[in-house]
Amino acid sequence: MKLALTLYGIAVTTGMYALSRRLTRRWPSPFTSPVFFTTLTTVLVLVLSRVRFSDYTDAKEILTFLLGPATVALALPLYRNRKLLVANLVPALAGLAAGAVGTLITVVALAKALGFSQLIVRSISIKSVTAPVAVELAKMIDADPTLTAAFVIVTGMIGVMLGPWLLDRAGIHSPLARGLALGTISHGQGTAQAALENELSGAIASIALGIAAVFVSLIAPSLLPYL
Amino acid sequence: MSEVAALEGAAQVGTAPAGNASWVAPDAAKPMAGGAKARLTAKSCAILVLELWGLWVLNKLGYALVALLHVPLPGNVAGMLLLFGLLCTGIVPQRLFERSSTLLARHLPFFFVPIAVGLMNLGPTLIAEGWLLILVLVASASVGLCATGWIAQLLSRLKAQP
Repeated sequence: MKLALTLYGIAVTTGMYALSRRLTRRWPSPFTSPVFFTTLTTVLVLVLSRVRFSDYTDAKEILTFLLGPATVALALPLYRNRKLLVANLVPALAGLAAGAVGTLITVVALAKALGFSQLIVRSISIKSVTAPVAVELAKMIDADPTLTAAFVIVTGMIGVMLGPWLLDRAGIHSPLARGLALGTISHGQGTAQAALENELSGAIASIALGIAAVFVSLIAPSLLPYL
Repeated sequence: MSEVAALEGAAQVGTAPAGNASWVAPDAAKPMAGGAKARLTAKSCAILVLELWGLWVLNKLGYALVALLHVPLPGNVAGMLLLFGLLCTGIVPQRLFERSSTLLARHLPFFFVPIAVGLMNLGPTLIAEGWLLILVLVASASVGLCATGWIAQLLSRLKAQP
């Protein structure tokens, strides 16, 4: 029975993922993106078929087996675009640090001001870190990896839907600055969006995503107690 | 089946835009030149498994390192930095992880979505307060996007005209 449920969980997740990849090719939108669509539809199918989350945990363990190796592999885009980083070292690192710290302080301050629980405040604080790193970082700062993953996904969608418009309004037109902003704040989804705008933007965004993950991992555990 | 598609797609992505990509390291596209004809042969399958195993070992090494050195860093980030160091020093050539990294990057969402599925347990609380949390996320993302964009743009202009 347990095995059947696990296989069912894997089949549903894989099926929804395959479907989302077809959908997003035909109707590209943040709502058909694999991250959002697969999460939402998998939850819906599992709830409707009365599967409890505790019955899904084995499937989760199996499916997330490659998450660690996938994070390690983020070193390759970083390495491939290293010359671009070196050529723009000061603007890139200063912008990245300002944005990463700025968004972290803003989100924590707002969530606290609105009276959210400590767990939610901690979980939302690292929402601009790429998901595979954020879920690991969540465990280190006593946050909830599931909540963090959800906040990360929504932040990615916000970057795609709102980012280009906001950057236009703010007078940020340089491809370097736009790519850096999208990668720093909206990680993977932002990087995909930046790559659509401009090749340089995509390359700098993939660097920003990796460095922001390292940077926030380093500062969040020591910064959070003071916020 | 999806792996064949991913590898072939990756090969096209790797070779096509190389012409005007002066800012991307020129060696990035080279290793993929022969990959256009990639098929799911036993050999390419075995190579892929070996590559993934290598990344898995690096990941475990990352966790071992942070535990040993008591660094407050997620183990997978340490693994990433370790691989970056190995690439920079030339100990590991980047073509060694070409296939697996392309495949994993393409399907990265698939590997963390199951964690977010845990939301089904937290549904009721989030539905009640969800809109407020989304507003918080929109506001903080806007601050971050503008801060990064403005500072990067300002500093690169200053650099351009000293």
